[in-house]
Amino acid sequence: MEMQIAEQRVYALIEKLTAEQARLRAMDRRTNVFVTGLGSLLQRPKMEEVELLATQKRLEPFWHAVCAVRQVYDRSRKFNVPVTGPEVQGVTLHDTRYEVGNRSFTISAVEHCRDEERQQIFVDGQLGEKIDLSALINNPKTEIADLAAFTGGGAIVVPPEIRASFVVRQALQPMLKPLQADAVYEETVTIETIDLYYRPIYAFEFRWKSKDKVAVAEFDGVTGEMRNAKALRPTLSVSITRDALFDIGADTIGMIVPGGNIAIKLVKIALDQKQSKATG
Amino acid sequence: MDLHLPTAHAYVLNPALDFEAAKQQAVDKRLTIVAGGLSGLFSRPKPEEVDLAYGEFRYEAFWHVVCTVRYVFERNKNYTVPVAGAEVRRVTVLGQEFEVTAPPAAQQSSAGGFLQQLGQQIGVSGTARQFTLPGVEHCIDENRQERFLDAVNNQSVVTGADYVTKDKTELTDLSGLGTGEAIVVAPQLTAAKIVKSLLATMIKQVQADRVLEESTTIEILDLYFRPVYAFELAWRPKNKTSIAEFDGVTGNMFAGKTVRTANAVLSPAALFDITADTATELIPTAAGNVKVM
Repeated sequence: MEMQIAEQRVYALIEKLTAEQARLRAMDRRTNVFVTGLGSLLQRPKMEEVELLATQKRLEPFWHAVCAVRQVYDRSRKFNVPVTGPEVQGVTLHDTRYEVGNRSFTISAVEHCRDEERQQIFVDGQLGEKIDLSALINNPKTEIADLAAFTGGGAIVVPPEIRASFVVRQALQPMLKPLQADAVYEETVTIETIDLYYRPIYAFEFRWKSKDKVAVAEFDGVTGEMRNAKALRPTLSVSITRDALFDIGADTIGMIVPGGNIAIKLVKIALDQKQSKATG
Repeated sequence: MDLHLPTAHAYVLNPALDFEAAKQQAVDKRLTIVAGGLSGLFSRPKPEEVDLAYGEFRYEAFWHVVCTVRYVFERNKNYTVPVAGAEVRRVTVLGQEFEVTAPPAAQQSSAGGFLQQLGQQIGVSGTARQFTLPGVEHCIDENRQERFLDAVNNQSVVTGADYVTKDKTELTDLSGLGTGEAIVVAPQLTAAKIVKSLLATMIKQVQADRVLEESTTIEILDLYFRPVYAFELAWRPKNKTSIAEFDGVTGNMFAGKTVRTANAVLSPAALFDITADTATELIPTAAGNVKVM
């Protein structure tokens, strides 16, 4: 099996919603963050009872991976071919006569197969859950060349807990089926895309003074969608290296594709050489 | 079409029950014969009230015919073989490669059919795809029929298969059959009529590209005469008559009829009327030229 890995990139999505726009929206909807469902009919704070305690801008990570599997192989198969009627005693195919039994005859054949599958997934960078964020990736973004130096322009950069190997394994799992083949001519796994994205999130913490309740409203900085949250995220200063994130290599490939160690080494070397030439 | 004709025979079945013994049985059972069933519960004759009014010994004829129609032929056939999955793109059989394709568009009916077909063409659909394998079918179509048919009305003689296993005498001279006291019920159906009606149900058009053999064999074409005894019993005070018939071969008695007619003149040439000249008329015209073997 051969595995080809595309260049791995990190992007930061550019926010369409400014911090001030987000704050205005949050203030307009600040009473909504305390009530959900039927509770809103019974108990609802007045605007003046809700105060803004804190704001936060975060860059939350998610993964985008596109994987393709291509398998070209042959397999032997016997076909049972029914004949027209009881009067058929035998059948000649290419000068070979087959006797008919039970109103059918059996031929040996070789099936030439090509199995191609392609899958795109989005995975939450912290929880590892699959989420549909396909609408986000076509928005304006900037590529982050040096992840270690990326500060997020004052925003909290949430460190990803999920690594590339996990994402690729999730994507490949349904596609890598056991192959029933007599001769395999090509077995290629192509990771066409394995990108880490940071998306801007604005969070606003409110307090319902009379009830002494705290709630958080979060706004997606790209789509403007609002969601409720329980609390602001703590500020973490964890340094993540590119190598730790993009951990698809000889050591991890065995977990992703059983038996793929040798092939992945070869492709990685080729990539590394290309990179070293480029940098040299 | 080759036509094989047999040597026809005429047989008379030898009676297991003679006329006198049958007559005695009829007399013994005369009360049951004239007042059988439910009516006998209400009104039953005295033995002296029932007389034997009439008795006859007759021969009834049936045909035993066995025909086989055989066709040996070849026809070209394209076999459509479904493949297991969408991943199968080509199949090699006997060194030749066949392209796997989607079923014809005619099989797609719904609006979604187009997308489904497109998916099949590019090999991403889960529905069945197939390849076509040209071949030649070697066929033998053989139909053998055995019939026992009443020579008067062409009805099936149910016990015919049993009769032909019984003791019999071949008739070399048909005219000798009606010289005694026996009445011979004249056969209305000749050999040609019997065979023609049977072959009409057997000969067919085969779907073939090459016919290697096309033959009709009339294996057996025999005329049998079986002895039948009929007795008319009269219940005088009631002015009522009943007829008991005895099968001379099996000895079975049943309600029947009398014929009372004079003997027919049996002409072998008229009964066995299949000759080389008339044989072609036995085969339906659709079967083509007939060659008598």
